[in-house]
Amino acid sequence: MLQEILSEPLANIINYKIALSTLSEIRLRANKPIVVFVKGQPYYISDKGLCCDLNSAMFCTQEMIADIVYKASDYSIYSVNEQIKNGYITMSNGVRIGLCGNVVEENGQVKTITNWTSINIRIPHQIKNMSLCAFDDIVDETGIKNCLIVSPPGAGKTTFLRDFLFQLSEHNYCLNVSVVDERGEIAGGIDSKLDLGNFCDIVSFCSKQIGFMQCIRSMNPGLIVTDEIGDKEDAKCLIDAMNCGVKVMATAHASSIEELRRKDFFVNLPSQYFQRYVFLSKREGPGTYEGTYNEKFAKIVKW
Amino acid sequence: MTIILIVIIIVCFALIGFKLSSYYVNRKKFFGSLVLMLSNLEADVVFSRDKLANILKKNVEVCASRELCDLCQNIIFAIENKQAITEKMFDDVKILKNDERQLLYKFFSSLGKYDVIAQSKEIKTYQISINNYSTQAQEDCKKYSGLFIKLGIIVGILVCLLII
Repeated sequence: MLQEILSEPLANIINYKIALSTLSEIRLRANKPIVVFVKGQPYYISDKGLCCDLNSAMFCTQEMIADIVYKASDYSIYSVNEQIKNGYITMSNGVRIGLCGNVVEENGQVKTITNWTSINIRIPHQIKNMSLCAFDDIVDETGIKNCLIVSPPGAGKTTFLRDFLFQLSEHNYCLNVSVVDERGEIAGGIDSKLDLGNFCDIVSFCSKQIGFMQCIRSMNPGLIVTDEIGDKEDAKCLIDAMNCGVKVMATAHASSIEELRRKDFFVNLPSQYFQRYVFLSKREGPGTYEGTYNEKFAKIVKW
Repeated sequence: MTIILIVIIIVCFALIGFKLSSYYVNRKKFFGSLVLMLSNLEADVVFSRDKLANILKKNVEVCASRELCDLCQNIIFAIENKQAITEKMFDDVKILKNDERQLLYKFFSSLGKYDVIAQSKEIKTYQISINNYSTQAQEDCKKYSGLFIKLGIIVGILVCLLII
């Protein structure tokens, strides 16, 4: 999945000397050593594979970054400029490339990002059974509960969400699920091999406001799933869904209950909107399950 | 027997004239199709924002110039295989002059590297030069394509007269 966009030497090292299933990020910065994150740990890469020695590390150039961005856009920057404005490109196989460079602004609006100086290639994974630890807490005989997956960035929220959807299907829980995939990260694109089970309808690359209304109007969902809620506009979408009798499952960035309580969206939600909170961390590597909490933030203890 | 020989000679020279004139006809077709393609390309970039390879594929289907079709096929192949567009692709288009090759190489290499507004402006800039090439190619075709066929027939007749 990466040889399409990486230069041949770099692609060869990553394909043949690093286990792709353990690789989560590749960070390229102009004129700096290339850094990869394997099992959550950062390493340089050399001709021989992973290394910790800066002297043998492979360096990145700005041309290399530009080449990757052009390839990721299928040599059609104009077609992905709406994504670039938001700081990323999502490829059809689900790989997401975060961008840094010169931001071109006009009247307070981002027009584009040019002269890219850093990129962050995030590789999506499907970790089967990852969500089983919390599955029974979220789904019980009364149905599915509004649930929020909480963790700091890169701790496996989206991977958890993806597996949860797969598990719903595996458990024959026949529920119409609408996935509002704003960044194309949950489901990936057309060429994605990520499996969300048999009951998901996916709306990709549209805002939550549009995606939620579109799904509610047209797809008769029992559950709407979305990634990374953050501001009060997102809270409005969640309330609209609740008022239509639709359950919601979402993710949010926070590393503790206190941080979560201070979030814009959280302040704007009715109390006890979410009935379950699943906390993840990177304590023992990305995806470490820290526990499930109920609507009153009491930890659910399993006997 | 003599009449058959005369006919054969005249036809042969007429064919040579036709072959020479086809250079101008092909150039006219090439630039005519390219002008049309650029208009479609700009509209597609601005409105449909489809991927470059898909836009080129659509244009290849309705392209009247074989040379332009072949060139576009090579470019589509390169894009789909994430390879760079090379000057060599343009060297293969024998009907082009050097400056035209250079311009087209620069144009196709720049495609897809900008946002919608910049890309549209870029296409419009190149459209001016390509329109000029197209006008020139049309004039040349008008002047020389008929001329070469006529010359071929005249030379054929002269050769026949000499032989007789």
